[in-house]
Amino acid sequence: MNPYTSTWSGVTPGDGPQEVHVVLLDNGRTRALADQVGRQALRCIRCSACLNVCPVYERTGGHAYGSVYPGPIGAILNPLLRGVGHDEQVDSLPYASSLCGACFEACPVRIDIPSVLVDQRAKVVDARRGHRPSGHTAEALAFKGAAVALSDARKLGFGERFTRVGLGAARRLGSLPGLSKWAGARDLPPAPPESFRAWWSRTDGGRSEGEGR
Amino acid sequence: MSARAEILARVRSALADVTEVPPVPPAPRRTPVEDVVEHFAERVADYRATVVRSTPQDLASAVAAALPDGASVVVPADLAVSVPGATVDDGTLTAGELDRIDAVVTLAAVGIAETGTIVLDHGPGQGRRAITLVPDTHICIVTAEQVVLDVPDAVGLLGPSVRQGRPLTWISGPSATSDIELSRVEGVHGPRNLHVIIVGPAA
Ligand code: SF4
Repeated sequence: MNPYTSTWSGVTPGDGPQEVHVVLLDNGRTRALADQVGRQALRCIRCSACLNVCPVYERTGGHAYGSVYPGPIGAILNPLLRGVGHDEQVDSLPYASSLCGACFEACPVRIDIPSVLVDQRAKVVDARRGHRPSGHTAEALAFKGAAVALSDARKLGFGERFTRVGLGAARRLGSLPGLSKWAGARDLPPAPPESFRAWWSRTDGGRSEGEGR
Repeated sequence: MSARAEILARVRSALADVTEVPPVPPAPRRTPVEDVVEHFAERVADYRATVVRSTPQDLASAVAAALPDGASVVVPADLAVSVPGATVDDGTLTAGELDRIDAVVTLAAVGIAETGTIVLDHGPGQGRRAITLVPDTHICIVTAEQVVLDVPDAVGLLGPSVRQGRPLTWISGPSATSDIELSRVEGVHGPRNLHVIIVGPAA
């Protein structure tokens, strides 16, 4: 236990200050409280257990969070307190996680930090819809492209014909333009001889597998 | 709108979707121990406090033995134990004057065995907060019947004091903090020496 803990329930005549003013500082707390998924973060007791088990915090250190609340709890509390869509650093915090779940396991008051992280990511995306281009533009464009291709079977089939050509070219070039940081440290897979859908229609869903080609 | 009404209205509107307040689960209880008073004595001693046992008859001499030689002492006006030569607090001693007094002798409200904590509710025999915080040695008298097993038991007993608006001081060993750069500093929030006398029938 803390050696000395004092509690007051008002002013006591003859004991201590005879006039007491209590200043309630909101500082974003009611904003966090109104968030149905995120409000659980307010029961944090600041024990730091989640920080000590977090692989991201271990590598970045506290200053990267730009706040007095670092680590996994900081990654959800800062966007909850300050709101998303105004500040690059705050908006980046929900992404500062591999969603490994170590924080949730360590937390003595069972704050489901991974779920709040995912929810805050959605809020960052929503807040940035229609924004001017930013660091998230390449990702947003890629997903827009994916949405177009994946929502229509014919478009997907058409696109798949270029998989071999595209991947082959990228492998020969050694890197993908604009993605060199990511691709530079990873091997691209060889393209399969045919797409799953092509295989399916050729073999009647596998029923005539092996009957020549 | 007053600032108070404004902030409370914001809290209420933030919780507008909460219609049902979930029940508060009961506080977890530790398994009972055989000798609660002995458990208390051990836990208090773990904090580097001095713990002695006394019978009601021998209490005055136990207090005298606990006081350092030639120490100046302050006691609450309604302390039922005689402490020869003690200054009786009349509520006017300033912090500066209390700082020149070596020791204070008081009773307590509750002792918590599991955490080795003594709680003062500053009721009879316990004095005002300042006299228990400023002198460097606190001789605190706890009766065996005041000792409970765990914090939830103590909170139950302290309810009436809080409802009367009394302040509480929870003391778990001599004052010490390692808050600043992890170096231990003693005597920041209260006395550096805690001497606990447990009063009960001879063990
Ligand atoms: S483990 Fe839980 S209680 Fe502890 S600091 Fe992290 S979120 Fe807060």
